[in-house]
This record gives sequence, C-alpha cells and structure tokens, in this order.
Amino acid sequence: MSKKMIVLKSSEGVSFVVEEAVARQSKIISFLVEEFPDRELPLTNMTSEILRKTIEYCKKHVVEDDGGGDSSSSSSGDLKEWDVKFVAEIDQPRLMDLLMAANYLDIPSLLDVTCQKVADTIAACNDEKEIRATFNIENDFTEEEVEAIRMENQYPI
Amino acid sequence: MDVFDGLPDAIIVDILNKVGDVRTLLRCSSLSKRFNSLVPQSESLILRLDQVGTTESQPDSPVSNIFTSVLKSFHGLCSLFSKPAKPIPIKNLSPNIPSEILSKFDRVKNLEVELPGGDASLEKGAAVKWKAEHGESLETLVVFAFRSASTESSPASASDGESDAEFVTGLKTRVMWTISVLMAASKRHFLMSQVVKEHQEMESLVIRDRGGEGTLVMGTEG
Repeated sequence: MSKKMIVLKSSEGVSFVVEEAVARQSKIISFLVEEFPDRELPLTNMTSEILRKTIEYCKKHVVEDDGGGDSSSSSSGDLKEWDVKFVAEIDQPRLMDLLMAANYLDIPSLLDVTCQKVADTIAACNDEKEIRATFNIENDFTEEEVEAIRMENQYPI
Repeated sequence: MDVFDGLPDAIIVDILNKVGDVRTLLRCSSLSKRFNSLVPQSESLILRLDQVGTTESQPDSPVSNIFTSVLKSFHGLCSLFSKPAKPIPIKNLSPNIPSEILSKFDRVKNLEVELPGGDASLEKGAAVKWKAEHGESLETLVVFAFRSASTESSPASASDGESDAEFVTGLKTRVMWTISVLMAASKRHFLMSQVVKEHQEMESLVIRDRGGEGTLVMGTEG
C-alpha cells in the first residue's frame, strides 16, 4: 500500500511530507501537483507553524470526507465541532496567519471557519477601540473624520 | 501595517457578511478608511430594532385551546391593510427608521430584521405564533394560537358538549385573532416598505421578533 506523497516546504525550509489526498484540499497545491509532479513545493510565505496547522486541518478533513463513504449527519456535526475547537485554540495573530494561508492556498472550508472566527471576535468587542486593539488596526482618520463618521452612523434608536 | 493589509477586499467583505449585525458593522466603518469603504458592500445584514416597545409575556401554563387556520391568497384584505391613509407604526417605529439605518449599505441581498417583541395584540393569557410569506402580495399565512388554561375553562376537552353560544364566541375570537395577526403582518410589511424600495438588489427579507411570535418572509417579488 503506497499512497502518493508530496513534499511541502515552509518558509524556514522545513519539509513536510503529506499524502497527496490531504494536500489536494488546497486548490493551488492540487494544480501545482498536476503541473509539477514529483517536485518539492516551496511555500515561501508560510511558516512551519502555520503550515503544520494547515496540514492538521486538511488531514482531519480528508479522513472525515472518505470515512467509509458514510456521511451521516452525526459525523458532519462532529467535524463542525472539531472545526470550532480547532479555531478556538488558536490565538489572534496565528488565526490571521492561518486565514491568510487558507486564502493563499485556496482551501474554502478552512477560509470559512477562520473568517467566521474573526467575525465572532469582532462582534464580541464592545467598541471600535477594542476591535482596533485586538486586530492592531491603525486609525488613519483625523479627529474630524472620525466625528463625521460617528454622526453619520448613529443608530437612531 | 495591520493584519488585514495582507487580505484582499473580498475576504474582508466576507468577514463583514458573517458579522451581519448592523450596529457592529457601523462600528467597523469607523475603524479605518479601508473598513469605511468596505462596510457598505456587506450583503447579508441583521438589523436589530431592539430598544422600542415592550415584550409581551408568554403564558407558561399548558395549552388548552389550539387552532390553526391557513389563509391562502388573501389579496383583498392584505392590500386593504397595507395601504392605510395614515401609517400604522409598530409602537413608535416609522418606515424611515430602518431606511435611515440602512442608507449606508448599497448591496443588501439578504436582510433579517429582529423586532423586540410580538405585535399582534391579543387578550391577556393568549398567545399566537404566525408565519407569513409575502410575494407580490401576501401568499400564505399560518396562524397557531392558544390560550392558557388558567384563564379559561378548557373548551377543547368539552368540545362535544359545546353549546352554540360558546361556538360562536370561539369563532369570533378566532376571526379577531386572525385579523390582529394580519394587521401585525401588514404593519411589518409597511415598516420595511421604504427599505425594499431603496434596496433593489435585495433577494430575501425576514422580519421576526425576539419572542418568536411571528415571522414575515418576503421574497424577490415582495
């Protein structure tokens, strides 16, 4: 039993050997594997840590996807639970890195769960200062502009 | 340089769509110039009109009287109610309030509106659940109403021995309830009329209340 393996290389030059089916959840890798078979794929903008996380996610999802061909609702519910736990355990800066990785590698389901987590984090903040602090967003407005926007956006009731 | 700089606009709009809540989105628009320009592109919004009106107490005693009435194609009655000479506000809400709040958003596709409480005014101890679907006009309306056992001797269990007088009262009550639900539905329709006019790209609009009393669903033709 030899499953086809491919090698992904992080920005630090660390190689990760992954089953092709796992890596193919990324549409970009899927494309690259066909174009350049038997070649090491350098992912120069991904750290080993983020690449490891991404592979962990893909591994979980590939196992569940062909888990005996039985896609019962409970197993998809379990997977959802796993996803929630997966993103809950990641701290803010790494979550953003993972979101960027999901975007870069084109893994729609990972992008979806990371975006959802970011949205939930934004919703949980009490005011814009807290959102800015959480995501380290620079305020590029002048005082007057902020005031104008605040007036414009007043919630009338 | 912030974490969002590495992300394309489409992803940020996607995140904003997942946020949904209009109050939070308006807050986001004062984060930075980029957010200010992207917030109006959100397509899925949840509008909570939650500081108006009072919530009606739901009876917690067992259900004793249940009836369901389904009205189909209630065109005449609906247009009668939805075009009043004077606007009927839901408590003190006028159609330009939601319209004003949403004026910033110009690509709304799916809108959910949450009202603080139910607005079909029934007698004390009675409760109602309803769901209306609106196309070009009101298409279906399902009403499920009940009265708590503590306020009424149970007419359901004595249905065989029901006298004529009781039956008439029952029918009258049912008609009254149905009409108040129709009025509640049309009030909501009217409340959102201006928003619908101003957001041509809207595909679906759901108006519900926190107590879960009634839901008005409007499709593309609504």
